[in-house]
Amino acid sequence: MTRPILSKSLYWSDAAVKALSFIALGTGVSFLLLMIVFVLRESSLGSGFGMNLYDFLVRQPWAPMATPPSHGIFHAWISTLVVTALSLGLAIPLGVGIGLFLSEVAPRWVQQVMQPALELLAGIPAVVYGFFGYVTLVRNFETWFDMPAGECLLIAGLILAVMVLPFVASTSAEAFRSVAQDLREMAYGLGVTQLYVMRRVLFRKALPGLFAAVALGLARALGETLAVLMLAGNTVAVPHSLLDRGQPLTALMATELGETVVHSAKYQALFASGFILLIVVLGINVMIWILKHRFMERSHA
Amino acid sequence: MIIPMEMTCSLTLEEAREAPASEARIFDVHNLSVAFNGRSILRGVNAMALDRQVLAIVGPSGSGKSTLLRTMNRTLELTSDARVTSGDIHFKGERLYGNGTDPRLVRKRICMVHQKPVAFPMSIGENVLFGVRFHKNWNGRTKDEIVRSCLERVGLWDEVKDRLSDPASRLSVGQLQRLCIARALANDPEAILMDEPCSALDPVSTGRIEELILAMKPHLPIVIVTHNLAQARRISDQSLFLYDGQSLEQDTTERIFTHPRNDRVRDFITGKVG
Amino acid sequence: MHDTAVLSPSANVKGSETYRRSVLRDRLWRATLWFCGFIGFLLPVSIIGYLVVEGIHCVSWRFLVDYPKGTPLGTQGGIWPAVEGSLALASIGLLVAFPLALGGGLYLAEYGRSQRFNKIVRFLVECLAAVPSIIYGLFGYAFLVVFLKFGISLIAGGLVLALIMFPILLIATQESLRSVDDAYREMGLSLGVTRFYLVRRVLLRKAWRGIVAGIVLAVGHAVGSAAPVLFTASIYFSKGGLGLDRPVMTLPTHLYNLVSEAISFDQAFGTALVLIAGLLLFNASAMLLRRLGGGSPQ
Repeated sequence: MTRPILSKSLYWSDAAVKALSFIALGTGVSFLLLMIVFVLRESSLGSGFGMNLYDFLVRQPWAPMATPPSHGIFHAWISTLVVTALSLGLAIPLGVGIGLFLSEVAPRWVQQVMQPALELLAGIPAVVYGFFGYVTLVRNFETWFDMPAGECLLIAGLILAVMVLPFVASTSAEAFRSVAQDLREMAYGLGVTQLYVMRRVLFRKALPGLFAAVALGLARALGETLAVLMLAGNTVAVPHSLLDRGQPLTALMATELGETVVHSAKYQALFASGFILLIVVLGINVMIWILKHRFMERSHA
Repeated sequence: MIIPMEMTCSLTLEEAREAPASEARIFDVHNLSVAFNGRSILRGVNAMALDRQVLAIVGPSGSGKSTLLRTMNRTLELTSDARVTSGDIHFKGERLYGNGTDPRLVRKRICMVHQKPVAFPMSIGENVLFGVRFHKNWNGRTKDEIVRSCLERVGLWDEVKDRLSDPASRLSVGQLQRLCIARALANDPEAILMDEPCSALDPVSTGRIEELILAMKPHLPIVIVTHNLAQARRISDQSLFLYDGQSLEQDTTERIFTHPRNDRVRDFITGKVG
Repeated sequence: MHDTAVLSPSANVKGSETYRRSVLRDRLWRATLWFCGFIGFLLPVSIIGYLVVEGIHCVSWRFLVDYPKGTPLGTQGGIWPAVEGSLALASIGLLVAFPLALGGGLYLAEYGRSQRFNKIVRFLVECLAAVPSIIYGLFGYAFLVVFLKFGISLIAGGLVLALIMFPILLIATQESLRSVDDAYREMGLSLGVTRFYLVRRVLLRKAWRGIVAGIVLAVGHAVGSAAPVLFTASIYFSKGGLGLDRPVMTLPTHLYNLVSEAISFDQAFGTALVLIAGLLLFNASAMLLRRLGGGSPQ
């Protein structure tokens, strides 16, 4: 019964599958990279619309129809900032609270109910949120605050807060849960209250994860398009109060792209703003990645 | 052959070399060294396994027993980044770590049974046939014949013959381990390696597996790693002691357990060291 | 109260006073957290509930299969072309993205030997999963519609959705495969089979539930996105009939249109409800599939 070991069989099926799957991987990833490069290319790095970065971001207004045409995006990123700050200001305390609740206080059956509830919240499409905000808040703002049209940054921020909430909540719940169980038992074993444990032990250990939760909420708020498009008012003006109308960066792009001649100055300006948004969001995600890897290491401690 | 200082069983190896053909050496481990990231796990290990015999590899935990076993059918490279740095293993005269060797074919001919039995997500019958369907070594038998004969050999046939299409995950741990052995036998291997096959089982199942090993012995060489000295005494013909990655002594089980030559081995057997 | 009994009479009164106060604070804190949880539960329930209540009267079988009618167009009739368009886009997207993601996930989990490479790729994919949907819209417009001259068409929209779905599917596939215990791999491979055989007969069978979950997530995300579709595939009203080179109506863009042009809020409620109900049904049926596929894959 001597069968030879020494035969290098070509495991063709393995080699083929390995090659095919690598090609699949490569195709997908390269298209994603292509996206970044292409957006940059279409913006022509700002050469087409005759502004330096400072003008683009701060000094010049958005007036593509004026002579000379001007494509500054100051009003847009101010609106983005206001709406984002408002939404995070509401979503972070509430989200962290929910995360803490889920991880420390809620009994098992409540957790099992809350989990799908949060997934539901996260799964509602942006356009439906915009619609919901419109029929509930915008209409009523017109009567309550005596506004000719109810759209304003306040409403956009409120609805955005709801959209961002499930992400902040589940990420912070994960952060709290990852704090090792024995740490808690040691603390409780000393007879202190739960609040004390939360304050002194949990928050510190979960901090990187909480930062990741905030960063996640930030990235989503910055990138949201449809809801703010429908709710913030869409005017090309720098807002001065929360009840003012505004036009976040994403809404600017969504509104203007449809009426833009390809490769015109306005077109390039829009792509330039898109690229800036992309870089900012990617930068935040890099930070999240680093944080997540730091707090995953901690939970092994 | 250069005998390292720690080895004191040269006598037995010479005797084995002069043994009649029916006691031919199946495995011949020459000066095997294995390292992982610069840290050596096995150093200059020498061992051999004879046909129709059970070789037990024993020693304290961490001495590299499982690593050695895994080098014997080339599954080491699957589960860790450890690599054979020097030495070789001959299986029936062929080099396992030679240049032209196909590790997959090695694994087909030398099968391993692991510590924790695991059921593939398919029926009992399909589990048994897993390797056979791939290698297509039907050898003129139908699939029902193979399933039946393998399950009979491991003593599982009567218990499962009515539910061959049930998922294997429903079996108890003891039954599952016997199923894993049946799965290995279906491959028609030339040797079987076992890595602490009974450590996850209760005493009754352990007893059945030991009976099974003794029943398989006349047909196949078996190498078993065990931390249970009593078990080694019960079922093995030869025993190899590993300590800290080195082979201390190999001899017939009877001689080693009654008159060990190496001091450490003696301490281990008498329970002075764990 | 326990504390006064535990503390011996010799303990100073001030000590037990602070203790009681901190217990009170603890109770307040717990109440606050319960309140947070309650809001977290109330929000989705009330939003969905509101949409159901307001929209249910509008939705009927006719609503689903009829074409938009009335003056202005869309005030009456149904939303069939939008339903059709959404389904078509999602199907094309899935058809393109799934094989690529499955292959990619397989490579990362089973075949990729270099850990560094895997980590880098995974990092890239995760970052790209977070790209705002408007950027996908910009890219789709510039590359597919203009550069490749697909025009505003079903195929352009489908490809953009495939791009959106790809990272989600890839991560789901890789994670599901990774979560399969290594013991299966060891045991299978030590019988001398190839990796592909092992993947086919053991690993994929064990990982399929996670993969299905990924599909549900990806499709739900894609179907609900309006921003990328607005610039690559959508048209305000179509007479129906699908063609790869023709634009389509979709549920989210139709909803947006009805609202922004103030055409009909009744119809808008109906559309929103259909969209949400469709997504929920899809999620629920996938969950059912996983339950049923339950104990014993053969």
